[in-house]
Amino acid sequence: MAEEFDAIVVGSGMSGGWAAKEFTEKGLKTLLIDRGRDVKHREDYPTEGMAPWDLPNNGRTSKEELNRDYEIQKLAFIAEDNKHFFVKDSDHPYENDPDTDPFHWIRGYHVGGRSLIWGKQSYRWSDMDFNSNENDGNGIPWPIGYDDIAPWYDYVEGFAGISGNQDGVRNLPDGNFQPPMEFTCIEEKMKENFDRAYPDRHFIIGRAAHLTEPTEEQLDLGRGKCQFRNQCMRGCSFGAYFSSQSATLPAANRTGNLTTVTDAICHSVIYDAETGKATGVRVIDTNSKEKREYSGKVIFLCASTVGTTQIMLNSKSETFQNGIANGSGVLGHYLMDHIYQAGARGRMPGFDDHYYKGRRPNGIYIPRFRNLPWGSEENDKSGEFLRGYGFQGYTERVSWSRASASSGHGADFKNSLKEPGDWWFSMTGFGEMLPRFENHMRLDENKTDQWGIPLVHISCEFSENEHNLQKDMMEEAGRILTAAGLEDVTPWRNKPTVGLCIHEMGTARMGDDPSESVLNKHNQAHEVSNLFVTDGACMTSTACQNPSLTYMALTARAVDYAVTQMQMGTL
Amino acid sequence: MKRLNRREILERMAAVTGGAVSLAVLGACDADVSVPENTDELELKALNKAQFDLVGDIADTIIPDTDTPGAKAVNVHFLIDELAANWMTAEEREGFLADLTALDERIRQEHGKSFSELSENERGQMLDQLGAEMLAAEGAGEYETGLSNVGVGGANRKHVYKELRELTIYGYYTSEVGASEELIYDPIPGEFKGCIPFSDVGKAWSVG
Repeated sequence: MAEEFDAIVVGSGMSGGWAAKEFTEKGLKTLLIDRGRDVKHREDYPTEGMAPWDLPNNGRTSKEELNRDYEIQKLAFIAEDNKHFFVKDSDHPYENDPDTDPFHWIRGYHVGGRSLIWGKQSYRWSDMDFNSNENDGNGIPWPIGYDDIAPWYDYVEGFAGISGNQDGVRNLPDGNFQPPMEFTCIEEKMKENFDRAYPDRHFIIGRAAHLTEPTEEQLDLGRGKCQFRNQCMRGCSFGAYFSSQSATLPAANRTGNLTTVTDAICHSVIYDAETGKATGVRVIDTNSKEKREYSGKVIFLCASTVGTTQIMLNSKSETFQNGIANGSGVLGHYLMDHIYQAGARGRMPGFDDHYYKGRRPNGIYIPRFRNLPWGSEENDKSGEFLRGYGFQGYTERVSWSRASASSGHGADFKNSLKEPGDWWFSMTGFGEMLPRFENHMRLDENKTDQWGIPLVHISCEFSENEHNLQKDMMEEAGRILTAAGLEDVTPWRNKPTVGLCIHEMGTARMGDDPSESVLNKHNQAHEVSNLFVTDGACMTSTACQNPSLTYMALTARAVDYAVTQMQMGTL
Repeated sequence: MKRLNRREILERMAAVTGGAVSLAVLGACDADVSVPENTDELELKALNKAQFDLVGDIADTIIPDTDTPGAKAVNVHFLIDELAANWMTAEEREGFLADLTALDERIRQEHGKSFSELSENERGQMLDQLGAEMLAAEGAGEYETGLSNVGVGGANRKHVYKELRELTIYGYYTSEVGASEELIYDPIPGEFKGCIPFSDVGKAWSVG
């Protein structure tokens, strides 16, 4: 007999942590399952506080190991101090369509998931973003608008703790922020020049999920102020950045309503054709490979975009032969990411007698200015591409890393490196990707992983709109940095591949029409009323902002709806 | 600025976070992870003795002892041996070792003795010569430039002096002495000040 819970949450990352917190705080007996090992806050951050000389090989990971175990992950941010928070691709294979560019799937299979290693940039979407599909006819209209989600942005920002400034940018709504971080000397100078050159654009401090002035609620959870170490990806015992470990899981645990089961891979959702509802989940023990089941009244899939849809496609029944809640046939389709891999860097002359203290885990942001419905002709590029991009930029006054390029040696050379070098600034664009049916994932029924689950097979690539956008991203980055007063400006652009921005979205999209979407406006499956998806899979378009804050808000909103429906007896 | 060891860092964190850093973590950081003081008995993992001496004395000529110890005194050559054994691909290692041997032979041919046996002046001149060759090779696009922690290795090997410089400088400024005595290392800055007089800091941060 399967254990019975009020709510089952699959996945403990960004979205799953929120679902667990919201359900348990509302009094529901909640089961949280994760396919990976437990990672205990503070205890399981093995490299935290290590100096460069404390790490094996002073921090350089064996290339043989990277090539062997981390064939895909090595393309992202993996390093010796954080590799334990990335999957070994060799243990968790998936397939790419040989006829398309590869999709690079960056993953962390452990409690907390990628909330431990995310970039923490946190931006609201605006009505412009929710309306873009409807306005230009790509994809389907979102079933919600800014007004539906705004109170939930307020709520999740307050709990998570987002530092930022009230900037008054029409397409990047202000929020419930803690004090912003400081600009560097050259960013202040750049902003002055930028504001003069581009009166209708904005150069703002990044909005990021780091505590700068913790609330009582955050202090009660054991969270403290950011210490500006900028080693977040090792885990943070101060709990200064938002992660499941620092914030949502302790909140859920203190209710006494949470049961967490680790090392349990969700194989599929169990569907009962008589009631038309999901009754629970089948799991496989990651280590023993034993199978078992759990029952629950409501099920939230928060296993990441591709992970969640893999579970749904693998949840087959007589009613749903192509995957649960897939009557529309769009499950697995409209896979998206942001396009990046383009930007510019340049050197700011002067400021030799200035420096900074601390390592700011944040940068500056230039919100989207291309193709705004109210924008100027100068900013209109709709003849070349639809939608737009934002820039994220960082300052560095280079230190010893400049030394190997020269041929210097000896005492004078060594002494010259005691002083920092030039001030450099670099920025990268993050652009919107249009939803397209042909960009999809499916299951390869002929190949299974070591747990007998069919492998994910992905066919996804950027098309002309994104390539044109990326080209403009590079060229405009160069122009902006020049206008901002930098010298030696070098625009750059790499061949982009989908997935590497680690903002994968779509495949179980929201929409009002059940014939062309999987989820309704409450993230509830059209065809299975007690099944919800609140991770990136639910996204109907990508906008160009980093998506995690929106997942948090959608998750809290969906739990509120589900619990209300349960209390009314309609779920 | 007082330097903190890892135990002190974690203890300070424990104070801030209400004592929640586990004893297991504290215990683990008492283990000495640096190269033992008696290096005579250390076995080399990739380099032979001639290559090791060459690497050690080139590194020490690039970063000599000044008011702080230089590259050799902080065992950068042992780290380079480690990196050759445990960081490079087999193909890169093979190429690197062959390049070192070729460089050793070339110096013996030109000077009738090894790099280690050269006078300080001769060492400097040799590095000037190698530096000019390195820059010329880069200008001609003959070699790959730039650090890569990820590459599969193989094609377009770096000029051996470029490789040695990168390894030496990396090894020195990530060593405890290089990072925290020669430059400044602040494990827990506690605040971010975006624009302050350089004189308030006085030296370059080793970890940006």
